[in-house]
Amino acid sequence: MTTGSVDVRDETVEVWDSRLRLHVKIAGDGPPLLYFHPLMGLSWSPWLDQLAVRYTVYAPEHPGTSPGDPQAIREVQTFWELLLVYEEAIRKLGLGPDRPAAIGQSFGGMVAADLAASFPQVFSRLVLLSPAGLWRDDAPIPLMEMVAGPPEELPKYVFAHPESEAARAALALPEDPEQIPKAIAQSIWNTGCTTKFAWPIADHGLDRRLHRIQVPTLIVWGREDALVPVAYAKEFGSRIAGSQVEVLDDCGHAVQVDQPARSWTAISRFLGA
Amino acid sequence: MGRDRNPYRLGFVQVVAVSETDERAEKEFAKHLQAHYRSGPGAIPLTAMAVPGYAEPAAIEGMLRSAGHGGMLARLRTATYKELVDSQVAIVGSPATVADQIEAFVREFRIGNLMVMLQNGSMPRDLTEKSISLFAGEVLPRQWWPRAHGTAGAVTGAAAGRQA
Repeated sequence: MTTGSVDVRDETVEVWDSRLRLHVKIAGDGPPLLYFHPLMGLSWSPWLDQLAVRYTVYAPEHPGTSPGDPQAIREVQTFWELLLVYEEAIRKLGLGPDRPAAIGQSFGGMVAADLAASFPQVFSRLVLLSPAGLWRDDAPIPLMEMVAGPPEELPKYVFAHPESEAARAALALPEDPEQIPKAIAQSIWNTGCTTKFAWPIADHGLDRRLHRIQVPTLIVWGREDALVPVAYAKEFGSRIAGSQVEVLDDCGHAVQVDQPARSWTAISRFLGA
Repeated sequence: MGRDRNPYRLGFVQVVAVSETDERAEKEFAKHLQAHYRSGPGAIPLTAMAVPGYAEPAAIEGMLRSAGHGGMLARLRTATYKELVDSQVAIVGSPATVADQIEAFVREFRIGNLMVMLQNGSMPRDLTEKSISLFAGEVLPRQWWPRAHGTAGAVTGAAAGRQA
């Protein structure tokens, strides 16, 4: 497992009739791979460094979540517009002909899955890490409880072991106390920008489009996921023809944090195959 | 040309309490206003103030800083009557005291739409009614509104309301 840090550069793509400058973090070398981040925004983790060893990782920042450009979210009114923004950005990044692989996590999983269903030619392979996007009344997703609840309860929704060093590191605040309010404000704003398309129920009819996904798909889930219950693994799996479902034991919503080695093995084996 | 047609465009909400004298105001309102700030704004958990999607990043950051040690929200939890009145968080006193203070900040901050909150915290009905009556009868008639362009006299609060 390589976790050497790589150079991450920031590129902006002008899209949406020039109304939006989408920020994309890019790192690494090799064939292109898109990463769609979860609810609270993109944080460049060691896990993405690992991917960057074999791939050129393109990680777009959801509109409004890029520091210094909060109002960008105003330009995107519906989830369908968000999908169109990303489809255009992928073309403008010059990735169209290469058909990049895509990994989508949680909220980003909903984005990646719907892109793959709406535009079947855009990706070559798809990895969904505990994606949102479906709803079952008997398996509610406590999004509202997590987002509007006390911040000290957030980790229990995201990690199987909230007290672990890895979980603490994943939610670590800046060391400089002066920077802490800015960092918290950014993550609250980011959550507002993403929940704009996920509140209170992240269901835009994806269940009726998933059958359109034509590419090899891997679905990874933590058995102890306290945010998007593992029951949804089978919902995604049964709707995407030929997909593989990998359920990890002793694992919560953030699969790479709770089970770094086993999730990495599953993902890298699938992408390399 | 070049003239600001109506510089008084800002809306502002102000807590106000009026009694016959400053001394009497303190005696009547102190405990109710303290209760209001200590168990009201000062006690709202931050998660309820900063729900995602409701406030701009700069506003969230401001609230977080203000809720922290030494911040305004944190200080409200132990605020004394003297602190509230001296800082004009609440404008309290005789009709003359209240009118003077309101006029000063309305002019300084060019406030065109002033909303007053006259019932706060544990303030009982009779006291609230007295405060409202004194405000309406002795404070509101003060001519603190700016002279309207094209009219001879100043526009009072009530007259401004009719014009709108």
